Amino acid sequence: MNSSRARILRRLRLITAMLIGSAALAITQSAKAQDTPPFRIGSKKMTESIVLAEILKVRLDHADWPTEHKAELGGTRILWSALISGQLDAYPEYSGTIWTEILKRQGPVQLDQLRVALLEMGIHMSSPLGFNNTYALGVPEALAQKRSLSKISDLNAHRDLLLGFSNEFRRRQDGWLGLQSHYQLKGHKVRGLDHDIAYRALRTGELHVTDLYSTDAEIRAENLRVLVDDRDFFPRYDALWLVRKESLHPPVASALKELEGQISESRMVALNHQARIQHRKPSDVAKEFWGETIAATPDSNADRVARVAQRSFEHLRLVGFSLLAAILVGVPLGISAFESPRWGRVVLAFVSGVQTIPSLALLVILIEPLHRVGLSGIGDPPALVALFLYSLLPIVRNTHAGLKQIPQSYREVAQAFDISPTTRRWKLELPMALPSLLAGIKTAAVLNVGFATLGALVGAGGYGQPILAGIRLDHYGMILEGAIPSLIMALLLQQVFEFLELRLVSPGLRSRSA
Amino acid sequence: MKNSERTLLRLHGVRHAFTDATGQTRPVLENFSLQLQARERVALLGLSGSGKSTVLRIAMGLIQPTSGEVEVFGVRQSEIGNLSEPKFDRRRIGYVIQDGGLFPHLSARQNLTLIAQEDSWSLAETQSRIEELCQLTRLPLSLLDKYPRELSGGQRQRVGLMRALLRKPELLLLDEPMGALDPITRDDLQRELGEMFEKLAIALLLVTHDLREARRLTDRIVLLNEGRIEQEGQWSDLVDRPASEFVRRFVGAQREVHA
Repeated sequence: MNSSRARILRRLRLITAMLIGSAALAITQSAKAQDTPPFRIGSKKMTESIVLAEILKVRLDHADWPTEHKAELGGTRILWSALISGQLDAYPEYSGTIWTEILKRQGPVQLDQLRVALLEMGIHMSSPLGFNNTYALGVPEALAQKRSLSKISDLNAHRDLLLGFSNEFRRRQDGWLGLQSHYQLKGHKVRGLDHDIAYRALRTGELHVTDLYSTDAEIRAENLRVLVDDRDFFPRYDALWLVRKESLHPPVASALKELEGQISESRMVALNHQARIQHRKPSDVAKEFWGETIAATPDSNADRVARVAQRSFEHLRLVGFSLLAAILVGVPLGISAFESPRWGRVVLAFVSGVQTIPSLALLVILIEPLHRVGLSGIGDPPALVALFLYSLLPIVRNTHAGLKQIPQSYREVAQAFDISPTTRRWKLELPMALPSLLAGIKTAAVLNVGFATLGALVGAGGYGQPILAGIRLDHYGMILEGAIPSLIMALLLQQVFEFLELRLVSPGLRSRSA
Repeated sequence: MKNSERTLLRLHGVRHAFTDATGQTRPVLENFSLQLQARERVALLGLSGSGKSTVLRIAMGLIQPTSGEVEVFGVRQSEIGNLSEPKFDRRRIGYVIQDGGLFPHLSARQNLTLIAQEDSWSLAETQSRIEELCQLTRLPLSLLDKYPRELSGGQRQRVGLMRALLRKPELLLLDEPMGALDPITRDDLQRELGEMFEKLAIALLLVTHDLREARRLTDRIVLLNEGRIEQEGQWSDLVDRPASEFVRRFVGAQREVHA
């Protein structure tokens, strides 16, 4: 008799301990983050941006200036809003991108006007680094010869060609939208896809034309012909640094001065080639840029194990904390939804609605509100909030369904025996709903492991990091280094929940699941 | 149980109707009246859907009748009363539904201790009462730690009965307790229950469609047809002096089986 009460107490104690432990961890984590504010550099999800960020970081490291590189954060929008809201101090950008995308200006880039406009927003713009990484259209050399394609205007005579553009390029005024009207391009089939995947599709012939950056390492590696911009559409994309005015510390200013005009187009193509085609670490490429000699260190097994362990910790932290919060919120929400059907419809519509927001969009949407409440819009917070929101649906729905499927006759019996509402809730309804409730949590946990890989888009680390880098570098081994542990974690979590089910669900209910 | 003439339950002119999915009002009980004295055993007999179970649920305060008077233990239940808190102590009534109504996630013993814990019984008190009830219902002690799904239909019904008797109620409401049992188990259980009720001297309101069961376990039969009382009286009254063609057919159909 008392054993069941003791078991509940033991369970409560375990849950309390877990809560206190996680709260303590969260506090120490945030305390650590507030020690000394380092200079935070961001980079886009592209090799060149990462290499440029590393080059500045290495220089600041040499000057003993604490620097942090939040790598591969995403596209212009994520980085710009992070810079403007003060979550980043600097990131490398291109003049044309700011001119058209952020300032919404037309015509050729006026660097002086650009500098003034940015200063008014509190952003310092460095002098150009030296190269112009403009957009270009590339065609495999063999195809270009066969169809005699050399200029962008030639495309009009070949409407059967399949065009594949990065999603960013496709929607930009200085990208496909403007290009199309400038050259009167009509009738081509256009597909939006990841820039890195486009090269693979070009190789297999599923795609004929794609957007390129003029410093892309692939132009040589993949033997592509760059179509001449014969009607001068693409604006200049001079690489330069954007730095928050108040973060322009003397060592930063002098580093930017040293970099001014130092990287020519051919030098950048070479740097990109080392990082992207030769799979060298961007930090090593950056060190060599500053004259260090790097001994070739083969990737040892110990390194790999440490790396995977670190990412597993990051990944598990994302999954664990978001799941814990979703349980603490979702279960009471599911109960309340059951108790009041009208409120329940609102709750279920809300949590289902959240599920339909594309994950990348959700991450971007979260930057601003998180910043308002004093949290970082990049790193763990947006990833945790997004995962928490996605976990709500299965947990709320299954709690609600678990309670709803309890036959009315049991409720009447409980009523007839004058059983108190508390006992009814804790000893009758919830234990009977537990199999469904646990199944909901299990679903959320397993889905979370997959969703959490997207955390890497906002710098939250985890298994998504090698997956994103692997896609970017066209490196299967690296993709697998993230994908396989992620799969294993999902399977292990599944096992954990099956074990919990065995321990927590009454044997009297088990015949159904067995 | 002090006063054998005390009225435990009185329903007068009770009507109950519900609105179905198509929005139509469907009467379940019409002008239903019934009195149950202490120690009296009455069967509510009728076909399925005749409103028998509704009477029990009204008596238990689980549903509010559309109109009519309901008195439980001499207390008039208000017509617009709060259902979750009827004006009588539900602990004085034992309730058993078809297949026992045991909570599936609790063992037989836990189904019993749950009730004892609600009333803050001591461990020893609970233990001795459970042993007593096992003897009374002839349930082997070894079955107490089994879960409902591991018990046979008859065993489940015994545990359900133990649970209903745990608080020593004055009145027992049984809703087709043997509806799901095979004929042999049913026959055994009916015989045992007859002896048990005799011993306990408890008042009983039994819902059944089985004429033989009604005859074996109760003194008086109320035969319902489509929500109305068709005939009320002893078993012999129904057999010898059927009040209507329906009674004659109802009795005849069951007698052929048992002939």
